[in-house]
Amino acid sequence: MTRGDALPLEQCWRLAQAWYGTPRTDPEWRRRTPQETRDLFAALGLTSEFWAI
Amino acid sequence: MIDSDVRRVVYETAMRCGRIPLAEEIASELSADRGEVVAAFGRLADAHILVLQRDRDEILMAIPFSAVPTPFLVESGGVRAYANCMWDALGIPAMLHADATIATSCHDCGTAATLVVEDEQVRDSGFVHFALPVKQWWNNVVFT
Repeated sequence: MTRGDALPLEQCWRLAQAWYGTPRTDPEWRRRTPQETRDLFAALGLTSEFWAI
Repeated sequence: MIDSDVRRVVYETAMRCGRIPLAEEIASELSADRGEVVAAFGRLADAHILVLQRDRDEILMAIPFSAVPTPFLVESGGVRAYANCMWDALGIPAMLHADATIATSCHDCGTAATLVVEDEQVRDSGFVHFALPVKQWWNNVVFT
């Protein structure tokens, strides 16, 4: 078991906004590609190996 | 087509009512057979969009919403909903673009905690623990 990672609440809120802010009710909604996910994590400063996909 | 229709009905219901609909309700809404809806559940689960209940043809998670009670109770945008984890608890007001009150407890000491999201800002401080690295999230997403 790894120790995991701990994000400050504010950073987790920004992650939640980026991750969930797009409407999944939209027929055109789709999951992010791996590269889009990497870019999203990087934009939030989540660049450690823990956040690698 | 039915997969996106099922996803739409699931999320419309969750966002409007705070609960995840049963297969039968979705079938009725879409004038479809329950079996078609359950088949769509399977495909959406394979695509990591839904998580299904074990040995049941029903949804467990339409992330960030939970179909079963959890330690993350969210009141937001006029709905009361359970989230799957703290990230998802923040995900509900993020999805609804609404203020929220989140009733939970400290994972470390068990102390009750109420967190507030207001005007697109989280009004409290603290840390959110992620147990598993991203590469392992979907090995057992219920544990994650």
